[in-house]
Amino acid sequence: MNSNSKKLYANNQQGVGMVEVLVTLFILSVGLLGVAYLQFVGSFTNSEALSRSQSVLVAQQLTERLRASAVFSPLGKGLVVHNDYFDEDLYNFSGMTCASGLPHACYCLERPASIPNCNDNVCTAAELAIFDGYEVSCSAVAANPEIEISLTCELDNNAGDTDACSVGSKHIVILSWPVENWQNIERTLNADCNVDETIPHDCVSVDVTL
Amino acid sequence: MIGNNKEKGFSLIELMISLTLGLIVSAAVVQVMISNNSTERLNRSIASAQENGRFIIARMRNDLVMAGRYDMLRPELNKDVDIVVEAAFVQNNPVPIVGDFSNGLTKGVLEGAGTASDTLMVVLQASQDCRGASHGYNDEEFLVVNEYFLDGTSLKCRGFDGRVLRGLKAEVNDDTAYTLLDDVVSFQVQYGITDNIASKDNSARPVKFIEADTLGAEKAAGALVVAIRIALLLKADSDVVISPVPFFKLLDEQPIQPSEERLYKQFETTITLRNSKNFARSRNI
Repeated sequence: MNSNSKKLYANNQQGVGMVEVLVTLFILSVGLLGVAYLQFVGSFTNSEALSRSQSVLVAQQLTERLRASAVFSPLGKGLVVHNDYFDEDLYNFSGMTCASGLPHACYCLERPASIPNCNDNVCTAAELAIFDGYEVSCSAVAANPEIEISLTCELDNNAGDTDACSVGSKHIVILSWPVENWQNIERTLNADCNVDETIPHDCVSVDVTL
Repeated sequence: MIGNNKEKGFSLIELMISLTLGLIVSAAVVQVMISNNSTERLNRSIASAQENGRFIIARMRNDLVMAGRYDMLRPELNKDVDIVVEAAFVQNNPVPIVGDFSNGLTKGVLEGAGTASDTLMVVLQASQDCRGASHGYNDEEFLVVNEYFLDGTSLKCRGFDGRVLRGLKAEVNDDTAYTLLDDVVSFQVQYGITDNIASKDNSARPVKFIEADTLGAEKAAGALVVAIRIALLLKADSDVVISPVPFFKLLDEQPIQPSEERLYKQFETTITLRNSKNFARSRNI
């Protein structure tokens, strides 16, 4: 009897089996993946917040430049900016080529020859538009090289005159940048900044009437 | 006795395998924690630079946007001095240059040599200066002169009673500077001027963005400051190492590269001086 129970006891004694260790390892690695994922999400969200708040500052700056450059319309009904501000070639360094490196290091550390020097010379309204377009593009890419800036007139409320954005029309400043869809999390996109875009874009949009 | 023979613990092989696996697991945990730590530091430094930048841009904008304000009809305005003369002074000198103040001959906007930081000064009618000091006036508005400058790495501001600087009154509050923001590497200012006297164009749009050192000559030729452009380079307050440090170009200064390998962010904004613009538009040409 005594010998029997001792035998049973001895048979029941087991260490931690290989299978248990492997299962623990598997569960633990799932947990570690979760922690790593948390870091990724945190970093992505942080950089997106950075792009967004920088874009708000740049949008504010462009509207302020428009306000500075606004002049009375010929009929004196209100303020308008020069038509060239709505030329999209003025923004995002269009027409310029960059051999290598990020756009800020390429275009912004030294003023390209095609940009008028409004620091040393007196500029016309058209020249100032080119200068402003270049400088705001530079501040936009300083935070995120993929930010693109655009200025449009929502609806020219007097198509009869020569002003691209007549007195009282809404000037829309949009800064947009591509975003990644992270792990199929649903993302609400603004349709205004995803026109003709193949990948999803986030944006900051500011409307201003001068 | 037979039972005793069947009793066994871990074999050496099992022990070694478990130890190895345990080692791998703890290495992974430590690795995740290390990268967690560095990511967190980077995130925190980005957030701090961003927070400081947003704060200082908003603060400076609020302070500067009213430059050149003078409202003679305002009942709160203290009328101990000739307010017509004072109104003309403010409207013509929203941004004073050295020599504009008879009792403060060194006061005015200054351009730092090379890539050194600038000093900005604005004049306006208000009830307190940028530090909140009221200079002995009791809920009255007076001629406020605010000065912003970089002292070491602190962006500081001090305020004066413009009437004291113009030699019309005795000083009440001292001019101790208050710190607005620390960890500022560079503070640069440009002035957008309109030349409506020279060009006979009273649209008051800026034609040129210049530095403080040429502002005196331009003002003498009839130019008026209608916009201020400021740029700041801020250092993040975390010890995360970023290498190599990129070049930063603030306004039209030469590009600079800070020597310390830290995270830097550059902020800039443009402020249109509404009061100056309206004054320039209504100037009789």
